[in-house]
Amino acid sequence: MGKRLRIIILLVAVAASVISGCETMKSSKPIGTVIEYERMLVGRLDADYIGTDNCLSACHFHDKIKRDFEASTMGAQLTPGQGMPLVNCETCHGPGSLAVKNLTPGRVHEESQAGVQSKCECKTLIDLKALPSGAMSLLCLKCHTQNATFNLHDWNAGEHANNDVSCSDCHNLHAGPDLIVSPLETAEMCFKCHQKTKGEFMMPSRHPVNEGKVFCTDCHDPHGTVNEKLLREDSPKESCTRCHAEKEGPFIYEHADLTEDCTSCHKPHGSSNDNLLKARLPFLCLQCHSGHTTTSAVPGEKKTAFYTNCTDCHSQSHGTDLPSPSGKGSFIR
Amino acid sequence: MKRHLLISLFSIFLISGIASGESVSINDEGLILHDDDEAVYHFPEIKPEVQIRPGFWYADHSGPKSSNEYEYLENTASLYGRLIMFPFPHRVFLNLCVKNTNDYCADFRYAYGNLVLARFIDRTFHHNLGKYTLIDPDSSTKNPGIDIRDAEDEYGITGSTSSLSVRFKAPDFPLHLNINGWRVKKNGTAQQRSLIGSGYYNDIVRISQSRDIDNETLQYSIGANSHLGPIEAEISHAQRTHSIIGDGVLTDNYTATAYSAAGAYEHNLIPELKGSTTTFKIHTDYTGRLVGSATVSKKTRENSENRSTAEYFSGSAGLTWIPVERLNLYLRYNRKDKDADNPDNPTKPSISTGQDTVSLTFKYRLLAKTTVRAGYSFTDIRRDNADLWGITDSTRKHIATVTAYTRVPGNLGLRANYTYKHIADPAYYTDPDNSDEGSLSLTWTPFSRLNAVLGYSQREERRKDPTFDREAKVSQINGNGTLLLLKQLSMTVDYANIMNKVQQDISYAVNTEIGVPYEDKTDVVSVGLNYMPVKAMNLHGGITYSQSKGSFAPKNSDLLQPVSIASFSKLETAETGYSLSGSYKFKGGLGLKADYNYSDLDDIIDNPYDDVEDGNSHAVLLTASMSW
Repeated sequence: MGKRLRIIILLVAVAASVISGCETMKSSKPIGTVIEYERMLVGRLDADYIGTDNCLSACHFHDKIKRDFEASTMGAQLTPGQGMPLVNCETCHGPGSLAVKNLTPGRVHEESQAGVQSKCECKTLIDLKALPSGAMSLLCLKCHTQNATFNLHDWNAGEHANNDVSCSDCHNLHAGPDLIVSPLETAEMCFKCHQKTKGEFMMPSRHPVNEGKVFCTDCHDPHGTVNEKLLREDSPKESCTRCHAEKEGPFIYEHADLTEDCTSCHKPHGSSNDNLLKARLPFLCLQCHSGHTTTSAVPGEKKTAFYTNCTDCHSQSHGTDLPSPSGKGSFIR
Repeated sequence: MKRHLLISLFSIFLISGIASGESVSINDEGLILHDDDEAVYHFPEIKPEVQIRPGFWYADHSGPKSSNEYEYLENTASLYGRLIMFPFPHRVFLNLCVKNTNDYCADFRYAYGNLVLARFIDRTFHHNLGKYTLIDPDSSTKNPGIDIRDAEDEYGITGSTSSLSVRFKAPDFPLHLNINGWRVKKNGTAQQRSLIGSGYYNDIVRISQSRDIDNETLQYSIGANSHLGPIEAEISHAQRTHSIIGDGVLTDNYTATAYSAAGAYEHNLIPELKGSTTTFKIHTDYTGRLVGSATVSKKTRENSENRSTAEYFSGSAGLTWIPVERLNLYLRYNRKDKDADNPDNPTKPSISTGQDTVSLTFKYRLLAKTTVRAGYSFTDIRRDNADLWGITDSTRKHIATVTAYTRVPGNLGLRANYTYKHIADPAYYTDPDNSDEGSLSLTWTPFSRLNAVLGYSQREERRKDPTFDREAKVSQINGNGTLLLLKQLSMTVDYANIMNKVQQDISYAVNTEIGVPYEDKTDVVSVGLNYMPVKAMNLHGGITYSQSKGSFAPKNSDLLQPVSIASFSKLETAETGYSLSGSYKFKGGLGLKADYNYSDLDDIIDNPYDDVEDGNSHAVLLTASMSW
């Protein structure tokens, strides 16, 4: 073979690699398959796929669901090369031919005249409510791994997956065209499971989550993180200083490394004590620090100055750039 | 030559055809069609929906505004709105809620097919701040003394949080470009308490003054992620600034100390800050028996007023393995390093830390509705320069957790959890040597009209040190019930009790008191009724009552005479809230809605030293809506 031919073959091989590589890079490659879950998601083997229009041709009970779905992000996804919806009823509910068997427009009309709502054989579809949480999530993850939904990066090893929470526990795909949970609705949704936290937000000093002004998702990422309590950031301090940046530092005079964890002194959800403190001043500070001298020689006036609020004088307890009058870092200036 | 070229071209098409895979489509009769059949999908025509709800917010109060912490208590106009449009492939959502000029939110979303997704969320609210009253029992003496410069001032801050995210996707390939922005703005006034004077024994003057708050935190990031065969990868970079526009620092006259001459000095400085974060993430397919993920990030933070810096490195990895369907194993590793530098501190350097955490959890589904979990984690913390701060240079934490949840006949769900924690060489006095924590919750739906949840949790901590002992207990009871009294009438009841108890040896310079008790607790009960007499009408009424108490109890007579030092911080308050609302939808898209809220705060013991003062407020929101 000549040199020219060898070059052409090399170019063909590179082009083929790139083209097949692009297609290969798109496809999903799980490490092992959870066969048990896959079997649960196949549906009836004696049923056929018939398409959304056939699911709903005779009956209009789900017309609003169909319309909302078509208006949603999933409805806008079309299969490349075909132009048909990528996601439809049967993608999640399984093949539907048995469900609509014998359900004709004529029969639906007759029964409605008699005041009876026709029903499909929905028990022949996949029983989504009976699926274990892992299988339920797998239904969604099959596509959301292929389209690089990166906010699920830590989902599998996260606390929610660990505690048998699945996608459908929070995302109601048929509530409307908006598939994303509105931040305004997260509190009501989260409190269904997190009752203890709901109680904390009823405390007199609290973040205004119940008032709808701060959202659970401001601090927590429900899709999973490697951090404690599903915190959005790497540490409690970084989560808090997203909004309270004036406390972040770094400062010249730090409060040891206590301020790396704001929960050393504060309860972020709610507290009986003002400023979300874990205990009332001065007791909060006296747990770690020796109080000012209190012998009988000290007049009551000085005891008042020392023990009403430590932060009357030590007003920069989160850290400061200015030395105290003694030249040390006592957080006075 | 020509034959070779034809063979080459045919190879390209053959390979790309194999790579793209066989594709099918379905026609209206449910028949399978091949590619050469025309199957063009037409987006449905969906009419836009619009709702506008203008109104008026009327508010009145008696006593300080801080009695209603999160409401803006001035009269203003209101506007609510909602827009949904689907001129495909465009999709537009807009939700607007302007309760008043200092309390509003907006949620705007735009999508172009699945190629562009954008979301903007803004919320602004007003925070009424309390004010501590400085008290000098003997004003005839100059020291200690007080200087109150804000006697008539009331404080509040309007805070605004905005977030913007835009995602671009490559056509027909999962490659994304993400742009994100986050902005927090605060504007208003706040009380600044501080010490003027040397602070030495005979030179104590506490002052209270007003401070203008006007600052902004801005963070924006850009990143890209893509599916790359067996893995997905993402890289992103963020920049962050915190800027001060209002009172960055206050200045007052100080008396002479051994360290500084008398004169005007700055105090309570809020520095401007800047920083950056670079993050790299990688993970395998989410759907396999084995799923792995890893994240590495590097952060820098700088204080713009001086040479203080902090650099953070964090790395984490997670592995999930499902050997059999009923059994899941989760292995996680986390590393965090902080390198702090404060060269302008002449007394001692900041603490730099390194932390490693490893955790392993097993989850096993015993029965269809019964699952048990067991987990263990180990954390090792190392500190540089710790000896200069009087804390331990290393701490190790062992945490073991067992959880079980089940659903039994009778629609009863049970969840129980137990956690044991052991800390070797705890750094701070409030860290325990060991602790036990348990919780139990029941969910009961005996019949469709009733749903009840009851929970109890308790944590006990113990610390035994050569110089002091400490015990702490935190407990919480919470309950919730929803009952459908009639088809159109439902009632909801919520109750919570949270109690915090500590007993610790406390040192007061030359004295130490053994076993000083501290306790604070709150009881809250809330009842709500919802009634829909007809489909077009909805009525709601609710009442919430909470009572809080807190104090500590020193016993030494020096601490009790001439006045107990515990009396300054004693708390006993009650909050009551009433709410009433009603709405009616007329035919033709018209609607009316009225909301009334009343809030009352009662400082039961009238403690003059805290920031709680009696007060109440009323607020009415009237709106009329039009939908089409």
